[in-house]
This record gives sequence, structure tokens and C-alpha cells, in this order.
Amino acid sequence: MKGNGTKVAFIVAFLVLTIYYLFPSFQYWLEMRKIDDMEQEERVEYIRANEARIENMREKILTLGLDLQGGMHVTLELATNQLIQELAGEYVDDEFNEILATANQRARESNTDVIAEFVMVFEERDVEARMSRYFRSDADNITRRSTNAEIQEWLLEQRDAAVHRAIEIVRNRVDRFGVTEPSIVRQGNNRLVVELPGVTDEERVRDLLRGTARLEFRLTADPDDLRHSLERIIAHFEPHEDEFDLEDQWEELDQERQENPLLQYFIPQGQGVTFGSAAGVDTAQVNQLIRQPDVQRLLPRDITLMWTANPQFEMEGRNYYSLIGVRRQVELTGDVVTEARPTFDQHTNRPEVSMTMNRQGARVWARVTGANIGRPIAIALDGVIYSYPVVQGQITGGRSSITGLASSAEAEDLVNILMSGALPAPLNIVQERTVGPSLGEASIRAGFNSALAGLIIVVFFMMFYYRTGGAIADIALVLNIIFIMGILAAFNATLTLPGIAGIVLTIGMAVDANVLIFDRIREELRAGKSLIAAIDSGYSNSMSAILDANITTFLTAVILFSFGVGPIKGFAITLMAGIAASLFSAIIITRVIVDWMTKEKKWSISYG
Amino acid sequence: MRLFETANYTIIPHRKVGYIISGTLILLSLVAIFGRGLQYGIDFRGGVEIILEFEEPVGVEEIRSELNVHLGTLPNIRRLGVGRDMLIRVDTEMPTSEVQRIVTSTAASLYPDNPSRIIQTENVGPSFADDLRNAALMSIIFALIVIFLYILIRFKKWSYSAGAVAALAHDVIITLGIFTVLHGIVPFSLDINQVLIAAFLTIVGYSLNDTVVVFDRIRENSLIFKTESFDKMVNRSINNTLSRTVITSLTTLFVVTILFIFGGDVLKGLSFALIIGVLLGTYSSIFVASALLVDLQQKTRKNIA
Repeated sequence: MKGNGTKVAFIVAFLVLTIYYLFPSFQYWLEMRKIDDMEQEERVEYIRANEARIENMREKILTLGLDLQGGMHVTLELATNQLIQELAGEYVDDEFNEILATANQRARESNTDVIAEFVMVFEERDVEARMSRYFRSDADNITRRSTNAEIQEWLLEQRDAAVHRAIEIVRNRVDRFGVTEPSIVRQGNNRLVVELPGVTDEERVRDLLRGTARLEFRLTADPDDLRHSLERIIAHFEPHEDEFDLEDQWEELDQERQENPLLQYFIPQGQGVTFGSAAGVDTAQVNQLIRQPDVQRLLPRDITLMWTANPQFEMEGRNYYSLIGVRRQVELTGDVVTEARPTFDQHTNRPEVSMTMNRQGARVWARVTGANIGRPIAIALDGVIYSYPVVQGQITGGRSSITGLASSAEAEDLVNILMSGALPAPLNIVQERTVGPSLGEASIRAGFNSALAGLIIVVFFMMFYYRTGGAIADIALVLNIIFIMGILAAFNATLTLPGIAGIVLTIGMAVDANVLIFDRIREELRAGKSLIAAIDSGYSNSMSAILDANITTFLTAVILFSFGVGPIKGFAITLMAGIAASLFSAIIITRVIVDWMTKEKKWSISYG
Repeated sequence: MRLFETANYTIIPHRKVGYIISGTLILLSLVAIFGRGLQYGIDFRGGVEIILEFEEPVGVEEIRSELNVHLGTLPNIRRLGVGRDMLIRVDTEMPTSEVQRIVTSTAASLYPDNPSRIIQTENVGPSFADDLRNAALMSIIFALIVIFLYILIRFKKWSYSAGAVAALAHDVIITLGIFTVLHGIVPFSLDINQVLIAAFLTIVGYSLNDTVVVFDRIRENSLIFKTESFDKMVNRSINNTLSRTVITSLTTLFVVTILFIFGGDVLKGLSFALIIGVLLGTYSSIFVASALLVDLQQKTRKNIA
């Protein structure tokens, strides 16, 4: 048996490796069954006692994809246009905004990069124009003399860094959220893919991922100015050219509502810093009306309107949110916050977040609060106002708190977001998939059953058609499936639903190599060769066909892997593992068995 | 048992029949694809897709008209399996949470005694869908190019590459055509989505497998039967490998058919594509790849002579 010693050694080595990699999965499965059989209390106790061990095991097992175990798959995109605006900072003017809007529009339509489009639009307008008008950075040596190409390069670098930072921050937030085995990977130049197994609380996750955590402290508008603007804005929407006076009777207002587009959705108030309120579903409509430039002009120059984060009152079963008038200027931002923790209000027992500021922040905070005693200060996060408490007295210790939170879960998430740091630019959800755990279970069962049924049919068919040869191929086939599992476990691959389909398909295709060999052996036998000679030439003559066929299939699997995302990658991996394992088992394992039977035992093998 | 042991069919001389069948199928497929348009799934067209599971089966029409009122757009609704699961697709820019809220409240008010819950949600932004579509198209084109080059390197003649790639394109186009025609007629999803692209590339891989086996035999026989004319030798090679071609196709067909029947709703589209792919792949390796090889070889020989 010259040469077969090495082959046997290889087979044994692979088997040992496979068992080594699959053992934790098997152990974990046993463990889970044991836990399932326990009583509720005993189970909690047991899991707590063995937490570290189970956790350790889980890291080594064959992981199931989100489509099989349920969870959320979210693709986030960094808003590059906002990043560009952010980088330009104080230099932003109307022309800049116009260029950016056009670039963004174009990038969206033709599916190109915003940065490239931005530079293009900029140069189209005026070839001589220099982008250095808008961008400065001492650290990166971007000055007034920088060329457009240098700035484009710099913008790309900045975006790259921003995506990196975003990944870090998102990871930080997800870790604090407490998901087991989250996966966060970068995709392309401005996207990240977040996979959260077992998570189904979609709304909470969305807020967690999207929030830029831009915390701002702003002064509020002068109530009289605000009220005056409100009257003028309502008058602006009046179909009849009358002056609008809030002193009018409310009954009349009801009538007005029918005709005034703004009043159809909006309840004007003009009390204190509250501009007015609208039901949650109508806020988008109100935004559309109020954001018009000619309406914005009716507001005091330094004032902007922001919605409250939480409903202020309820009417006819609908929640109403209020628009608050705040100064455009931001007094303090979240980066001065050094510590934040969830607490409860001593009097109302409502959840809140208390924050501590650094020295510099505390100094500004003391000055701002000291100068505005008796006036409200708005605390805004990501463009919505959480609270606007009236300053009772100067605050010197750098302490402040965010009240007006809906639940303690919200307080926790907020602390999480504040402490993870602010995102460089907003992240938009461009794709999202949530699978419930029950669907996954049904899929696993269906996939497993069909794999088993397929295996049985193929096994019997091979024995029927190729007799002893077929039985040998069947041994190889079963080993092949174990190998595939082992390879998947070793590479920490994730088993997805298409992946299971890939394994089922491999069962059908794996016997191909053996079919090729056996048919060749039959041919050689027919040509009059002895069994041993026929087997020899059967294996060697079919080798080139087997290799070519498998290499080409492997290449398509590689392409599938590099272009596909999520579940498709899983399919590609199982296909690759399947090809590698089936080549090994169909060529080497069957050969060793056949050689042992014919040469050692002098048995005769029937190939049907 | 031995099938096709002494197979000696006259295939290559009758290749015109194959050309006519394939040509007609491709033409019909192209008419369907350009006429009806490819029926994209959620990941290639964007929008929001929700699978709603009821306790008891419900009718599609009621939900559709009711949702139309609340969503402000006509949703695409399809029954999955026995009718307890509803697949609801909405082309909207509305936030997912809003669509989910509308769907659950509509279902609850429409069927107060038949509780339902959302078991899967998918939301794809329009530009992201474009990206996925481009990536899918690129992967198929890229696969064909790589295969062309690999075969060129292994078989040293571009006519082998052309024959193989033509057979693959043939398989993909006809499968796409069948999917487009049957979409909405059969009771399972035939949306063209990412999973289906995976199926297409697998079909490409499988069909190529068959083709390469035949080509390999042609290469081998061309060294043995040097005096035989090329078309006779190709015919001989096809017959030599016929047994293997049929057996492998059979075993693969077994498993994909089982997957189709028992694999659950999610894998129906994928396994259906694989069934068609295995059948087409087996056919095309003989009637398209080998037949074209003969014609291309004879043409180049004439040119040389």
C-alpha cells in the first residue's frame, strides 16, 4: 500500500480536526437540551452558575445566521453631505449649500459618490473657483492656498476617518445595549452593516443606531417676538388677505381651520416659548409648511423652531407635540459632558439623566444660567427638545439634567448614547431586516428535513446503481457532510438558510466526482482491464475532468462571496466548503477504501 | 443497472434542432423579460416588506383594500404557504416603524378575533437597492468573464470558452424568462432577489460542471482518435459521458426537488431556480456548448485552410 499511508494520515488528521472544531457545537447542543428539560427556577439558577462556561462555548460553536435565529440586520450609511457641511463649519454660505444640494441630488440619481459630485458641481460653476474658501484645517495643512484636488483628497480622508469613528461608536453603543455576538462591519466607503442576533425591539435599536448624540444647550426666544411671528405666519397662510389676530374668538378659529392650510394640522399657541402644537402624525406636514423660505423670513433672525421629543398633551386620543422657539446660537454642546447617568426625579419619580460637565463647560454654564435667571433654557438632543426648564438660579457646579423622558429605558439609552460619544455625521438606515425567532425555527426544521431526505435518497440510489462502489461513495458522502460542518465551524462561518440550501445541493453534487470515476472504471473494465488496473486508470483518467469542473464551480462561489452580502455570503461559503470537502472525500477517501479492499483484502468490488 | 452504457446517439448531426429549440426559448424569454420586466424582490427595488402571521387564514383582497386606504398607496400582498402568512410589500418612503404601525393596527381592526403578528420586516432604501442590483449584475458578468478565461487557459482554444459561456448565458436567460412568465401565477415567490442571484451563479457553476466534463472528454478523445472528424469525435465524447451526465443530474435533481417540496417557503424560489437550472444545464452542455464548439471549430479551420 505504497503512498496510502500518507493519505490515511491525512484523513485521520482531518477527521480529528473536524471533531475538534465540531465538539463545542455538540457540547452546546447537549447543554441546551439539558437546560430545556429543567424547571423554570432551576434553569435560571443553572444558567447563572454556568454563565462563563456557556458563554465560552458559544464563542466556538457554529453560529446560525440571523435568518435562522432571528434578529436585526441593519445597513447604515454615513450622511456624507452633512459631513461635508460639518467640515466647512462657519464658512458655509448660500452658494455652498446650493452646490451641496445639487451634488447630493446628482449622487443619488446616478448612484455616485457625493464627494466626487461635490467637486464636480463646484468646478462646473466656476473653473477658477477654489474650494479652499470653505475648508480649513491646521492639523492637516489645509489652508487658503490648498488646491481643489488636495481638498478632495482631504475630504475623502475625513470621510474614511468618520466611518471608522462611527463604527467604534456604534460598537460602543451596541455593547452597552447588551447584545450577544453583535457584528459590525464596514461595507464600501460609507456604509456599515450591523447584525444583532436575538434583538427584536426594532424602534429602540433604530434610535440607538441613528442618534448622532448632538446635545445642545440653547437659549429660548423672547415670548413677545415669538407670538408676533406666529401671528404673521398664520396670516401668511390665510387665503383671504386679512390680518390674523390670536385675540380672536376660538370659535372663529375653528372656522378658519378649514381654509388655512397651516391650521388644518397645527394648533397655534404663542404662550411663553411654545409656538404651537400638532399631533404626532401631522408634524411632517407642519414642517413642510414652516420650512418654506418665505415663512422662515417671518421668524426673528436669530430664532429657529424645534419640536419637543415627547408629547406635551393628549387630545381626542392623539398625542400632541409642541414647537419651541429657540436661539440659533448654541451656548454649550455635549462634548463638555464628562459623566452621565440615569436617575429619577426626587419629587415626581420620573426618569431623568443627570450630567456632569468639565471645568470649561461648568464655567460657561455658570455664566449662561447666571445671565438668564427666570428664563427657560432648552436642552436639545439630535434636533429635538427634551426639556426647557426655567433657570431658578446660577448653576456653578457644572451639573444639569435632561428631564421629560418617557421611560427609564429611554434614560438608559440616552446615557449610553451620550457616553459613547457623538457621531461625526448622522447615520441613515438604508436597509433593515428583522426576522422573528419562530420563522427561523421553522426554516431550520424544513432545511434539516430536506437535507436528511435528500441524503437518504442519494445514498440508496448510489448503492442501487453502483453496488459496492456506491456504498463506498456513500461513506465518503456522509464524511463529506461532517467535513463541511467542521470547515464552517473552523472558519467561524455563519450558517444561513441559503447556506443550508447550499449543503443540500452539495449532497447532490458531491457524488458527481464519484459518478465520474465509477463510470470511467466501468468503461475500463469493459475495455478488458483487470479490476485493479481499471480502478487505477479510472481514478487517474477522470482526474482532469473532476478538477476542472470543481475549480470552475469554486471560482463562481468565490465571485458570489465577494459580491454578495449577508445570507449570500453564507451560501457561497458553504458551497466552497462543500467543493473542498467533496473533492477530498470523493477522490482520496474512496480511493483508500477501494485500495484497502482490493489490495489488502483481495476482495472484489462490484461497480454495478 | 447500467444506463446509456453503449450509448450511441446521433446528437451533433441533429444540432440544428437544438439550436431551434434554444433559440425559440431565448427569444420567448427575452420577449417576456423586456415585455413584462424583471420582477424584482424588495432588495432590488426598495421599499418596505412585512410578513404578517395570522392565527387563521385570511383573504388577501380585504387587507389590500383596507391597507390601500391607510397607507395611501396600493400595497402588493401575497399569501405564503397555507395562507396564514401574508407578505405585504409597500413602495414607500415612509419610515418602517410607521408602516409597521399601520399594518398591525389595520389587521387588528379588520380581524379582531384573529390575532396577528409581524414575523419579518425588511426595509431597503432606493439607492441601496440600486447598489445591490448593480453588484448582482456585476457578479454574473464577472463570473462569465472569469470562466471564459479559465477555460481558455485550460483548453487553449477560444471556441471552447465561447461554447461554454454561451451555454451559461443561455441557461441564465431562459431561467430568468421562466421566472418572469410564471411570476404571480405560481403560489410561491419568484421575485428576482439576492438569493436568486446566488441560485443563478450556482446554476452557472453546475452547468459549467457538465460542460467541462464533456469538453474534457473531447480533449482526451482528440488525442486518441486523431483521424476522426471533429464533429464525429464530439458526438462520441457526448455519448461517452452521457451516463455520467444523466446520473449526476438525477442525484442533483433528487435533492433540489426535495428542497423545493420540503424546504419551506423561503427556499421555494431558490430551489425552483435550481431545478430549472439543472435541467437546462444538462441540456445546454450538450446541445449548446458542444454543438457551438463544433460549429466554431469548423469555422476557424475553414478560415485557416
